[in-house]
Amino acid sequence: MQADRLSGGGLVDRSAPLPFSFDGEVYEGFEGDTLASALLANGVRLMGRSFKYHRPRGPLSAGPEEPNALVTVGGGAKADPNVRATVQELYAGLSAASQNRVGSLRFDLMAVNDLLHRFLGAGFYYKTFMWPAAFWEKLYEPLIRRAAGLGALSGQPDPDEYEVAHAHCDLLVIGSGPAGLMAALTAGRAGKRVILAEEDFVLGGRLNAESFEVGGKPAALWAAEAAAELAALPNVRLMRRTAVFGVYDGAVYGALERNADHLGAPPPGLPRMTMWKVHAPRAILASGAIERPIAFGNNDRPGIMLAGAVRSYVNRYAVLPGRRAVVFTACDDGWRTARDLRAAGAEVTVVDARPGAGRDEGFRTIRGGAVVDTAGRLRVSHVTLRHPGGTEDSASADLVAVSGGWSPALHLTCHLGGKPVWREDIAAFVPGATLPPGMHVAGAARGDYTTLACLRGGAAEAASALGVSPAEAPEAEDGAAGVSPFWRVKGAKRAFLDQQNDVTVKDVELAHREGFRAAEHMKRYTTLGMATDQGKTANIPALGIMAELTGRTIPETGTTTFRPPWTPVPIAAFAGRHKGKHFHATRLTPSHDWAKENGADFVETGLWLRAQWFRRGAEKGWRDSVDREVVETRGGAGFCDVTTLGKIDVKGRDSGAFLDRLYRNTFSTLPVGRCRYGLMLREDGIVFDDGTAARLGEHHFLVTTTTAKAVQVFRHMEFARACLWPEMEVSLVSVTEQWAQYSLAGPKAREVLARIVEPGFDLSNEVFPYMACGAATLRGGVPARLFRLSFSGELAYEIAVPARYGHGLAEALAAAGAVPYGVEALGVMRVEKGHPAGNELDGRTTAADLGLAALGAKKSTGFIGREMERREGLQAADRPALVGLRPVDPSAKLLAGAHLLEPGAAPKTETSLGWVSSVAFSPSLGSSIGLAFLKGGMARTGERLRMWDGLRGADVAVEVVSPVFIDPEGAQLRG
Amino acid sequence: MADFPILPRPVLPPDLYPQGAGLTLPGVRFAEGPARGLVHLARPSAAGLPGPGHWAERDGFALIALAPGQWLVEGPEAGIEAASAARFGGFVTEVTDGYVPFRLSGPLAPAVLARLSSLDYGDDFFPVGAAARTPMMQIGVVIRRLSDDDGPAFALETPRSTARDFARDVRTAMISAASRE
Repeated sequence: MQADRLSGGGLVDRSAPLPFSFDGEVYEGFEGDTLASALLANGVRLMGRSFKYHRPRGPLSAGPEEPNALVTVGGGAKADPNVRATVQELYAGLSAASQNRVGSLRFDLMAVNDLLHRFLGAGFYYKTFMWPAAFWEKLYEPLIRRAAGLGALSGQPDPDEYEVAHAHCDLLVIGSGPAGLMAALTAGRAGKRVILAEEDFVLGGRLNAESFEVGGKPAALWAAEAAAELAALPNVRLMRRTAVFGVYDGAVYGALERNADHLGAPPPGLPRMTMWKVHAPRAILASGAIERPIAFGNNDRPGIMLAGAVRSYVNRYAVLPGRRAVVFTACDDGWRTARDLRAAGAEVTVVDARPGAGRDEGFRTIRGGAVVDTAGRLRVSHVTLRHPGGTEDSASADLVAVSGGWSPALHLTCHLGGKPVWREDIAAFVPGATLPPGMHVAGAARGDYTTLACLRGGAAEAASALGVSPAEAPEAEDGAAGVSPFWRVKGAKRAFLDQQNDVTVKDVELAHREGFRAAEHMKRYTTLGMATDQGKTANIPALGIMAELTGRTIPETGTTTFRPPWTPVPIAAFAGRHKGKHFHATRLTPSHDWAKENGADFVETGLWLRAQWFRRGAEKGWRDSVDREVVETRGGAGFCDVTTLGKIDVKGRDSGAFLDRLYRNTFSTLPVGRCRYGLMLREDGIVFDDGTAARLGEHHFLVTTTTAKAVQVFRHMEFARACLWPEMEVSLVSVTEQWAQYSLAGPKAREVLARIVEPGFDLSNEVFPYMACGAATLRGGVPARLFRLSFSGELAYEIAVPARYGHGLAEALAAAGAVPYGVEALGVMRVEKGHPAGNELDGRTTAADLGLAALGAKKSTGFIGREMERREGLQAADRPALVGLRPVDPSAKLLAGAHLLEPGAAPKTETSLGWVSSVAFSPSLGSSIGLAFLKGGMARTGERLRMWDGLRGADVAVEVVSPVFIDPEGAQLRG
Repeated sequence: MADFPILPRPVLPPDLYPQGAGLTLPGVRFAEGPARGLVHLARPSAAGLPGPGHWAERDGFALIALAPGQWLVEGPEAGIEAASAARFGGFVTEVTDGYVPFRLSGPLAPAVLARLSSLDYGDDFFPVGAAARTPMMQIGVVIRRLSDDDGPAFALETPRSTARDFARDVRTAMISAASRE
């Protein structure tokens, strides 16, 4: 039974009852309710426990500024903590639970903290728990964290889906109160593309919470009709349940749309939330204002609410939150609440802090008085009233409606550095002159507090922003809203300022006494303004009190810096679809399916998935597979997918000269039909990348890069082409995706290849020697390119075919007698051959360090990196240079990353002679082998050193050898 | 007769995509595009090619501006490289297999694209004849607006290696967009 639901009025649909539960109790609300309004309708005032003292709390507000009524919605992995009951839309089956309690909500065992409040003031943890120091991390902090807090995460992966999307408009209107609706009508009627974003699920803002008329009809009805007109305009997009939470550079606004939090059973595929990036060159901020509470003794009991929130519950939700109400106000707005409560059947006492305020309207009225204290265990039951002469008496009250005036919700105006300014006449900060580019502010957000001013202001600002005519504003109330700054009632009782963080007036006084007087210091010392509500109802009263204490004005005291987000945004919403295996796109080679079918395990190489090794039946581990692949390749023929190498087509009359300037060595002299190894330097002379270039025609080269650097090298080359040497006739195209490419290696490589090229293609050494390249046709007429290149040291070819044939070529190579090998075997064979790779090209090494000083040494033309390579430091004789390593004991294992030391030297930085860069177990040699950078380099060949790795506990005697372990004369690869 | 036949395989093969890589939902349709040849064209000798942000048909070829002085040319698959070189001059490089063509169309197509890309696909900003190279969920895409086909229609070319992820992303965005209708 909804005991506190009014029989008529409101925007709830009484024909649509919705069952829901709170802490296991089943209730019923109506469509159009929030969880808070539905609980209030059912007589529930107690909705949570406070952060530190575990004091009973109910809703303070009826909107997104709510500090108290935070609940956990749902269960299991879907449990969503810290949901504001004042925002959560009711749906059938909603299940919510209170938070931060031990025991039941009514009998929270941790409420004992409240008895200890004298010891738990602001910053208590800085002054206590000092001894013993070791207890802090292990005992004190965990205890404090357990005793205090908000809701808890489920600890399970979030099962919901989120997405990021983009929207574009001429005008973004933020907020759909009177100013926002008029702004949208102005722009919409003018044919502009409009997005109207509203955090609430009903458009209209305060118009839905008031009892006055607009345009001769109930304000909510006028708002509904305006919304209907906007909905009918094809150029207007209404985004309800969408909070604009941040303003960013480039006129981009962040907006969080809650798609499914109001649905018991969301349709399949609907993400829970969408994080919109709204691209809006113009925006109207019509975010309204936030009512301020007044600090008085025990002002946090359930049943004590903001006066405007009370009107929302009465007028919008048809809920009477109390029958014996005290309205405590310092502004005219509180009187509206008194009238609406009386009209709803409540007995009302008005306490106005301003002497002589208000007319005689038949209420029991105390002018110049104050509410001093309240009583009631789980809900306010009595108030202590102070009269102008100082006398006090007690009155029965089950509702206290408080209004200390309103503060514009100007947070978004500050996100790009804007500073608010103080307006004395309304005792509030308003947006300053510096606004985010394109932003206009209208309505209560800029301090216009009458409905007519909001309506006219919204239309005028939109018209000004877009250069169109303003929509005509309807008739509406235009009464001056008197307000006096009134922050607190002085007294001995605890008076709460920030209810979410349990920060009291005494805490602010303590901060003042201890010197934390600047707004930012006060915030961090007391925690005022932190957590989920970011002090939306607390900041200004706290500043007011600090100003009183320091004797300065409020603008002199300052305000905190408002940063995005305006409202809590789940990290998951920022991530959108980019999570798990979809964190980034995955690149697959054309042979991926074939490799998968043939037992490949894959490894991520950048975005690519590459076959790491191919498991065969009896193999127990990866080493078995890799050793076999090496042995079978060196004993017969193996093939490896090298599609992932970057491939860049270079065309144009100046191609050769262009490559000469980019590479350390020369390409302009390379004959057509030949390949050459190339080394590319960075501007600072360090090696950037290596690869090969094949001259396919007089003005046509094909350059390859490493897999890891493909993008960077192409970008570097494009920069050189477009910016450094635009006069050169060169065209660059990445053809990495166009060609599937395989390395076919081993003494039987020619034999295997002969089986798949068209008969008649001469593969003999005389016609197609080492480093030859050219076009070929494979059996069945498949066009191909052949390159006589070897990374393994074997007789080898690289075969490229259009990507659609990549799968088929893998099948054909296997059928023709080659075994597939993965990148691990590829790595073993390149270490055996002493070829540098990523571990050696690590951004610290020079060509000389790699033993490649002779490459391009006689070159007469300049190239990128040449001058800086000549720096003294890069020419030093004691720079570590590439060597090979073998363990003295062949059964010992080398470790990449280990240091090299003289035998007997103490292991420390000063004695380190270098490091091991790559290691592999060589099945060919039957031992671990390695490549290393060693001071003195190859001059130390034959010396014995220590390979030391303190982290992994290795200390192995090694011998310095040539880095070329296999076929140093190169007879095999030229064979 | 080949001893070891080397057959082509589509990037979205029927054995893995028995229902096809595309998807049709109320208001939006996504499918692989028709077979076509594709080349990259730079420094053409022909004049009057579409400028950045546009594409145009010319003698049976679709010319899509990629960057100043660079175009993709779509045309008949057979002999596309030679035909393009003959018609437009300049440097021509075949990339037929480097990209996978898709089509997205229907009234909901812009809503789908909004979930993939930051560009404005409104009629005034991306009309028929517009073209762009843009990332969609981190994957590079060349998109161009075709003549309407029961709503806005778009041709998309996306790199082959990420085509499966791209198709999945588009289908996911379609389901999301359609679930709101």
